[in-house]
Amino acid sequence: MLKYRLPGAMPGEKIIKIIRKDAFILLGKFILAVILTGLPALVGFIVISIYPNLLLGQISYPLIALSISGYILFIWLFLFFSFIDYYLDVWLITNERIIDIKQEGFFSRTVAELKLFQIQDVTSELKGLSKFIFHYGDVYVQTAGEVQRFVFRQIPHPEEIRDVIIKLAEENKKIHGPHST
Amino acid sequence: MTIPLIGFLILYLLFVFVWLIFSLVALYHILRYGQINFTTFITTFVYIIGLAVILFLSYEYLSQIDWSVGLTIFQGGSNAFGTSNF
Repeated sequence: MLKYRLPGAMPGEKIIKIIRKDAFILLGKFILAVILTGLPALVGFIVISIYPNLLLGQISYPLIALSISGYILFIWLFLFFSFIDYYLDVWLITNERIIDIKQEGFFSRTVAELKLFQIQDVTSELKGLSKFIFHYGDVYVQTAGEVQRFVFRQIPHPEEIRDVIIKLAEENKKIHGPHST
Repeated sequence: MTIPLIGFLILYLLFVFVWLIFSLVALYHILRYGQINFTTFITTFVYIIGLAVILFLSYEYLSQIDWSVGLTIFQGGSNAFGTSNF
């Protein structure tokens, strides 16, 4: 059984799927952090080969040490926050609704929900070479009436998710629809 | 004109202070909203260990430096950067 603390859980509500962005997105940020970490070593190697006495200076050594320390701290935080952004950005599909939880930066977090019986149209999109190869993409969920659209961005297997939502929405409409008793 | 080296250390400490605030906010998010489980526990643990290592190594390097020296600018031949090519 999928475990997640549902915001405003309804009686009998069950989580069908917990969706996060594709892990490839997180891997990309991890690779970027590794490259950024190695960058000062490369720059340092080039600069020291031009100015071999640079690290012997009374001022240059402390400034380089301070800069490298600050830089590494920044990258470490960037890496941790990339994980938080990935892990806390989540879409929950239950047998009653879709919940969109978004972590936006350090100081912003939004939670939105959509009842399954309100869904009118579900579209999946797999566009671009990397999305095609690694099989991740977007799913657009359109509701009736108001111009409201849920977008599941960069999620793995978008077609499968679209099928699940359509199936659940149809089942839910039978229960909550205009002819239900 | 001479800029005391300790000024750069104070700037660095200010940066570390702001960085610590952001770290605390990040930790708050993961603990408050991250659904306490193995993944969040391991990630938080690794992050704290990593930051302790970075801060410790930084302290080890920075504690050996003589911060009473000043950076002299607008004056030729100070050899402050270990080279006269600057």
